[in-house]
Parts: sequence; C-alpha cells; structure tokens
Amino acid sequence: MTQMNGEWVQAIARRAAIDVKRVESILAAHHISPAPVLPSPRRLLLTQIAFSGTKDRAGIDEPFDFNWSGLDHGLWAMLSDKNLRGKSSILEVVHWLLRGRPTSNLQEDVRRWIHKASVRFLLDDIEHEVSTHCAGGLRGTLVRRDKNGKRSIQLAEFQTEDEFEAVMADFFMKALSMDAISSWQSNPSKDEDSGRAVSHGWAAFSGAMFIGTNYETLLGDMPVVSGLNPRLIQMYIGVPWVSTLASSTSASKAGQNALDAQTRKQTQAKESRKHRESEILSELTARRDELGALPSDDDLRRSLKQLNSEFATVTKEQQRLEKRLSNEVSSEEEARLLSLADRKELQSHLDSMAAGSIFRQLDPTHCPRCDNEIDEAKKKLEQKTHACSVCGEVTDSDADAEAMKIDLEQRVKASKAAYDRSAKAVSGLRQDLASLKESSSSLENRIEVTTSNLDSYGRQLELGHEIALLEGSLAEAIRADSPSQVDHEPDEMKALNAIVAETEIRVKAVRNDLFKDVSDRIVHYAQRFGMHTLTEASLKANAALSLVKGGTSTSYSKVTEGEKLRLKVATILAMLEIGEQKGVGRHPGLLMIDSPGAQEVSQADLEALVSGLQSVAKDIPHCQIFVAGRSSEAITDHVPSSNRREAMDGGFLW
Amino acid sequence: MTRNPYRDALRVLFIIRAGASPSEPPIPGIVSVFRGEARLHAFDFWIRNPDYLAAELLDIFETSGDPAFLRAADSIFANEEPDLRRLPMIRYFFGAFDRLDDSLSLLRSRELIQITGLKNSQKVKETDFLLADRGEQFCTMCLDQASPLQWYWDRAQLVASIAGDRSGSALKQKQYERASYAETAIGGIIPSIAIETAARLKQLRTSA
Repeated sequence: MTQMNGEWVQAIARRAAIDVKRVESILAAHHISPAPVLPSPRRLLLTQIAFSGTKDRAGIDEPFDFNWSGLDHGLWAMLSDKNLRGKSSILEVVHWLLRGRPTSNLQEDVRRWIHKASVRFLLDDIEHEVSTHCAGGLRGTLVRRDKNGKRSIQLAEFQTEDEFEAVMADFFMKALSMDAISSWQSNPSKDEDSGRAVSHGWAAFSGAMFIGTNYETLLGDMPVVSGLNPRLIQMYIGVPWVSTLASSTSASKAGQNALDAQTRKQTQAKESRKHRESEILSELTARRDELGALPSDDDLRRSLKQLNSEFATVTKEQQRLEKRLSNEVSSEEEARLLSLADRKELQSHLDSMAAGSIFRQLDPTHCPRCDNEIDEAKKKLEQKTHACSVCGEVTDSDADAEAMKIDLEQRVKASKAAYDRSAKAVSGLRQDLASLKESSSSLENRIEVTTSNLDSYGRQLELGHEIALLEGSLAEAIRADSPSQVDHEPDEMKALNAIVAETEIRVKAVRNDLFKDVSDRIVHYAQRFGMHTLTEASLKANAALSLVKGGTSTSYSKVTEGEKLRLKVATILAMLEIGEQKGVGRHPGLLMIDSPGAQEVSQADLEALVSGLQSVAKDIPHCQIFVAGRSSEAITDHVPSSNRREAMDGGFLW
Repeated sequence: MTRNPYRDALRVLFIIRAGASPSEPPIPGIVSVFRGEARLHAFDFWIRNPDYLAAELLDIFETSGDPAFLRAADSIFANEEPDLRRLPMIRYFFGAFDRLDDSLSLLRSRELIQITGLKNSQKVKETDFLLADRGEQFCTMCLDQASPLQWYWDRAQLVASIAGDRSGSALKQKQYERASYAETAIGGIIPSIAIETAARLKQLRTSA
C-alpha cells in the first residue's frame, strides 16, 4: 500500500470498525488496488490504412489495392456520391484490425475479397503496424518500429482469428491502461449463483473510437451489459477511483453472492438437521413412553402378591356363599313343598266341607253295610244327641270344620311367607355370587397380565439400549447444528461494503461536477446539430442520458434515430472537450464516424455537425476524426481535399 | 291329608253322572246307567291325576289338531292342579287302583245310586252303576249350593268327553303304559309326570 491511499484505507477501517491491517489484507486478497490518480492517457494516431485483394463481381475477378497513407491529426473524410461505394468498409476494416475481430457491419463478401490488410498507427509517437494475410486462413503480426522506422520488433504473431483477437486485446488494454476488470452481472434466475462476473474487454472498449450506424446505445457499439457503461465512459473521461470502485463493487457482490448461497445452503442443511432432530426426538419419546409404561419387576411382584391375596379372599367368600346358597335352596324347596301341601290341604278341606255340608242334608235311609232300612227312632235319637243313627258315633259339626278351615288358611299364609322369604334369600345369594364370580374372573385376568408382564424384563433391556442409541444420535444432530465457519466472515463483507462506500464517495466527489459540465456541453452541441428544442441533458455514470426536450422529460432511447446520431456525437464531443479542459481526458484521439448523412439530418445540421467535429479536432490537437458519408458541401467545406478520399460519378473508393 | 268320604263320594257320583248313558230299556226311578267298574276307576284316575289327564289331552291335540285340547291342558297347569288337586294312588297289576267301596256305599246308603251286575255262572261279568232320580236331584242341588264342587263336575265332564267310547280296559291299558314308562314299582305310588308334561306343553304351545 502506498502512502497515497492511507487516508482511504483508514476511512474504510473506521467505517467497517476493523483493523487497518485486516483491511489491507482484504484489499490484497481481492486484488483491489486504489486508483486515486489515473495514469497519463495514451494517444492513438492512424498513419496508414492499406488493404488489397480481388473483388468477385458477377464472376469477374477484379483486383484492388487500397492504400491511404500520410494520415495525421485533424478531420478526415471518405466520401462518395452514391451508397455502397466502400466508405463504410474502410472504417470497418480499421475497426477490425484494431479490435482483432471483425464487427457485424463488415460485409461478408468484402471480408472474403480482402487478401491482405494492414494499419499503421502511432501510439504515443511509437509506430506500430498490424498486418494480416487472409488468403487460406487468417495469420498476421503486430510489429513495433523504432523512431526512425528502421528496426522492427515483432510484438506478437497470430495464426487464428481467436489468437488475433487475444493479441490485440492484450496489446491495447495494456497500452491504454484499461484493466479488464470484471463487473458483477445479476442473474435473473435465482439459482445457486445469483449472478456472474463479466469481463469487459477490448472488444467493448474499442467501441469508444467508432460510431457506426447502430444507434441503440449512447456509447460504443456493443449491447449494454451491467457495469459496462461506467467503464466505457472511462475511455473518454478518467474519473479517479472508478476502476477501484468497479473492482470493489464486483468483489462485494461476489462475496455477498457467495454468502447468500452459503446461507441458503446452511439454511437447507439446518432445516434437514431440524427435521432429523425432530424425527429422532419423536422416536425417542415413543421409546421412553413405552419403557415408562412397563412397570418395574418389584412393582409387578408387589402387585401380584396383592392380587393373589385379593383372589384368595374372594374365592373364600365365594365358597362360603355357595354353601349358604345350597342350604338356602334346600330350605326353599322344603318351604315350597310345605306351602304346597298346606294349600292342597286347604283345597281338600274346602272341598270336603262343601261336600260334607251337602251330604249331611241327606239322612241315610239304609245302612250302608247291611242295606237294612234305618228306623225312625234312631233318626230322632241322632237329632237329639248328634250320635249317628247308623253307627252311634258323634257326627262332625259345621263349627269344627270352620275352625279347621281358619287354621288351615293361617298355615297356608305362614308357609307361603316362609317360602317367599326363602326364595328371596336364594335370589339375593345368587346375585352376590354372580358379582363375586365377576370380581374373581377380573382378578384372574389381572393376575395373568401381571404374570406375563414379569416376562417384559427382556423388552426393558432392549428399550434401554434403543434409547441410549437415539440419545446419542440426537446429541450428534444437535452438535452438527452449531454454526460452522463462514467462508466470507462478516468482517470481510463489512470491509468490502466499506471499501465500496468509501470509494464511491471519492468517485462521486469528482464525477458529479464533471458530468454536470459534460451534460451542459451535450446540450450545447446537440443544439448546434439542430436539436433546438433540447434544453436539458443529464449524463449518468451508467451512460443513461435523460433529456428535457420542448419542456418534456424524455431520454436517449426514446428520441428518433436522427436525434440519436446527433446526441451520440454530441456526447462524445462533449466528453472529449470537457476531458481535455479538466485534464482528465482519456480518449486515444481516434474517432471514426460512419455516414452521418444517412440519417435524417438536414444539410444545415450536417454542416453544424461536421463543423463541430472540426472545431473539436482543432481544439484537441491529438484528435484524428474520420467521417464516412455521402459527398456534400457540408463535409467538403470543412475537410480539405488532401484529407479526403472521394469516389465520384458512381465510382468506387477501392 | 285327611281323606274325606263325602268329597270322594261326590266325585264318584259326578263321574257316574257324566259317564252314564240313558238306560235301555228305561227303568222306573233311574235316570241313566254308567257301565263298568274298570271304566269308573279309569275316569277316577284322570280326575285324581291332572298331569296324566294333561298328557292325554296333549296326545289328542297332536292327533286332532284341535286347539281346545291344548287350552284345556294349559289351564290344568295354569291352575297348579298337578300340585293342588292330585290324590295319589297305588299302582296295581292292572293299573291304578283304589277301592271305591266307601264312596259307593255312602252313595248307596243315601239311595243316590244303585249297583247292579250281569252275573255269569256266579261271577260278576260287568258292574253297572245306575243314577237314581234322587241322585240326579242331589247333583243339581250340589252345584246350586256348593260352588267348590263345580270343579269336580267340570272335570268329570272333560274326562267323559275324552274317554269317549273307549272301554274301561282300553283306558286303563293306556294309563298303565304311561305309568310304567314313568318306571314305578308295582305297589308304589303312581309318580307325577307333571314336569315332563309341562315341558311338552310348552313345546307344543310354542310350535302351535
């Protein structure tokens, strides 16, 4: 770390509340270097454009050899009175050779016709030449010459298109001090990696020197990717700290991304561990419950003893009741028979009384023994003495029978009551016995269950073993749940964020003023180019250009194609001019503009545009501007014939 | 249990009245004639053993299908007659037998019946019992004045109706078989068949 950025490092340390040494090690680890001062700009000047080959027009080979040498600073023009006469191709060939890869604008047939092509250019007064041979596969060299042009040093040689591109990119990125620092590009699909680092190479940066006919982007000719535009602006205006900001932002985003991914993974892992934990826990609970439900052996033996004693008591009582029942049943039978006998006797007595009282109304007429008639004297005697007129015995009176009847009725009542009592006792005893039998069989069941539980000792051992195993697994699962080491420690992320914040402060401090001046200058040029209703322009760090046109807010992407060309040129001129004024100009000086007249630009506006280019070329001595377009006074008035290549009367430039 | 001669005599009188038929030719002072001493004993057996009578009623019900016999058997058990009305008898060689001499002489002495017999070479071939006008009047008086005696008259009629035309020896044969089946030693008391008959009644009543 140099002394120059000590203040920056300390600011970062303060912001992140970490040690300066730690900040420095983090900066080193992420290859973030402070760029408070920009290296001095390098100047690029084309001195010769040459290409040759054979045109194949309608089957007729037509050799060509284009050579434009003696090129220098100032405004240059390639003109023709008709379209498709080779203007744009010259520009595209230069772009191809400088970039190492043809643009899509270089027509395929033109590319096939060219057998050899070379560009000579001065890079800060040192001459270089890139030359290619295209027939039978691309190959070529990049050569540096010493001051007097005598000695050549071959810087690189290439055998394929890819090698060519790599050579040119490597050469210019180093030469122009443009670090191929990657930017973070967000990935819309929220997967494992929520974005990726994108390298901004020479293919993109070289666009700062060419204005083609595609006006979709304000700067360059590549589709806009995240983070590209601030770096492209850097090709024109060197804002200090921007490369530091870019690299630190990229590092911070990558770190955050890694952290997010890790957090996500950790969360997933944690969830699965939690799931496992709860599984183990529920199994453990089940086993513990089962074990808890199994009574201990001592308890079992105690309760078995108790049950057996209860069973003995019940059995004894049962035997006692059964004996009583048996006695009671026989007394019941006796009582029943007695009651029956009494009732039968009563019935018999009632029948006999009735029969007797009727019979007594009949006096015997004859002796039942001898059949002799009974005389009147005996009958009279019987009425007097109640002695039988046949045998002399005393006859029964109705009064005796009545007394006997009452006696019998009382006996029936008494024996019936005895029988009822006995029957009731029997039924009561039977009920008691039934309930005793119930408790006895329930006791027997419990004894059986308890006895079989005595055999559960093996199961208890088994459960104890299982519980110990589960407890072990649970402890392990809980231990695994403790937070593991994070690759990006929090202080590292804090430091990266602090680096971004501190660098951004420094970038903004310079950039805001610069961009204000550039924006004002854009309005100035655009008005000169015919956009008279434009009153405000505001260039953002990401190269977004917001506008106020006719009192209405709009932006670059919303205006017409003709206006886009004007704004594009105005923006580039404004950046070149302000950069030069403020001493932060970084542009190599070469600018090639294709066919400005092709868009709806009026003659007066075209003149204004070209004169603007001319004045910039004048103001900035290292500027070399090429304009390709239809021949018009607007151009020829500003570009001397020595600086022009023209194809008139339908002819070709090459 | 005291045996009462008047009640026994009345029972016999009702049997004679129920089982007698008009005398042919008519005899002056005689209403009807009950033929055969064995028959008299057979009738008496059924009255004194309601369980045997019920068994006979069930036999007839099974043969005839007439539910009146089933109802009659049912009523015997409903009124506990096998227990309350049974007058046990001794079993002799030719069936249940109890001498009825006391009862008959009592009836004879009051001139309620006459006893005649067809004699064949000094041996009585058949004894007939003739119900006198006096006897008939006495029966009517009994039923008017002494309601407990109604049962005897009803029962005598029921027995007469089931005996039908069967001879005394045929009836006694049937009673003898049933009693033998109950395995009674000769000279022993005729056993009760109340329990098995009640069970049979219950079964028949259920399927009827």
